[in-house]
Amino acid sequence: MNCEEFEILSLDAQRDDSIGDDSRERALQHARVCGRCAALGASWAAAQSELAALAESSRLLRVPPRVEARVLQQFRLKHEPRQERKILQLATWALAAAAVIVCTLAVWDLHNWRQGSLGVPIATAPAADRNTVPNLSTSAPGTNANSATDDSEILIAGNEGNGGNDFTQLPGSSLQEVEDSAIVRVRMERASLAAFGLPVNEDEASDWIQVDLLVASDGSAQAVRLPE
Amino acid sequence: MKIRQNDQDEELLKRSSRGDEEAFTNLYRRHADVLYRFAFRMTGSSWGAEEIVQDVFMTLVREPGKYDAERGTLPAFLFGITRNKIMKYNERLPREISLVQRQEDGSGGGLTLRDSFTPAMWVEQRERLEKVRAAVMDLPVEFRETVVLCELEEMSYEQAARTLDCPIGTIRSRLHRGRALLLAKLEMLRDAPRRWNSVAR
Repeated sequence: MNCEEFEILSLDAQRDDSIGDDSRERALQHARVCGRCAALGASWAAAQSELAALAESSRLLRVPPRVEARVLQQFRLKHEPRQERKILQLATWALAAAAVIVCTLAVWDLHNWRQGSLGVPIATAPAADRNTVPNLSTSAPGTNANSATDDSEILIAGNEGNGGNDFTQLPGSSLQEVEDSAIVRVRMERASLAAFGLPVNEDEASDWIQVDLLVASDGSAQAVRLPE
Repeated sequence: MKIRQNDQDEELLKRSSRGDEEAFTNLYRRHADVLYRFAFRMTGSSWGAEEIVQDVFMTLVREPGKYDAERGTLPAFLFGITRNKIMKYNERLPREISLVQRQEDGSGGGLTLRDSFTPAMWVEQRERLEKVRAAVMDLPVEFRETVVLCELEEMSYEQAARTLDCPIGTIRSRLHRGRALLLAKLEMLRDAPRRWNSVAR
């Protein structure tokens, strides 16, 4: 063994398990005959004891508890918002579901409204009270609705001028059947009023209007009212 | 045994990434001390070591997904982060001046006497330890970390290789050079400089 091999071997001898006993023995023999390598071996042994003392002095070092506290605080900060986010997500889904339901109902309502606008009755109510009779006014087509002397009340034509509470008796209807009648609200073109024998303003004939019809028990319209 | 410990580490990491504070605390207590000692021995500063350990675990809190079990064990991963933090700390070290006198036990000051020591012996030993510590601190980083792991933490070459993610041969050669440099420094401290082939190389 030469000095260089001794140097490599002696520094690793204690830690390296791959160094065999015969190699250690040869190193020892070399140290006996080489003063420089013997001094090196002694020097390294002293250094190792100093390193061991240094290791021992810091072997029991522990992280101060304040570090754990700080790290755990950050951990909580990071994970608490996650729970809040979950709640927020649930709330968002709930709101979205509610919005879908509202939209569905709105579409359904619109669909019904359109059906009603095509002449289908959208509301039916019995004539107020069976014991009370709707306030009827009579009119004849073509008469002046604003005549002060005439006690009949006229609407139609251009019109909605009757305050919306009084019915106008249709031509040919019988007032005696009023007691068993029902009030039916419909949407129709103003021109359709002509079919009841009422005068219609031609300029507004294509307008859609809402009309209350007083319908007798036999299904025939007895009177008409334009609600406000 | 190692495999089981690593499995436990991974399980704890999974649980802590889901917000399990107890799992995270366990994980912290398993590894914080050894990382702290490593950081302290590499930086020579208890404040620096505290900051580094805190940063390491903050990285684990923020990005637990960064750890890939197929690339190595969790301790090796944590040592890797610690080494990076130590390098950054050492880079900015010259710009910082510590207001606290550095103590080996990290207490930052005060005097603790052992019964068997006279004050003179205590001071002498203290000075000697301080010189050894300074000699270790003077080693280049790559040699210092192998010396710290193998000589001070008493890790085997295999453990050190896993920790530093390098071949055993690299550990062996770095350790040899590190020891040679350290020995030369300690010899100089004893006022008996000695020529070393490996140092001269």
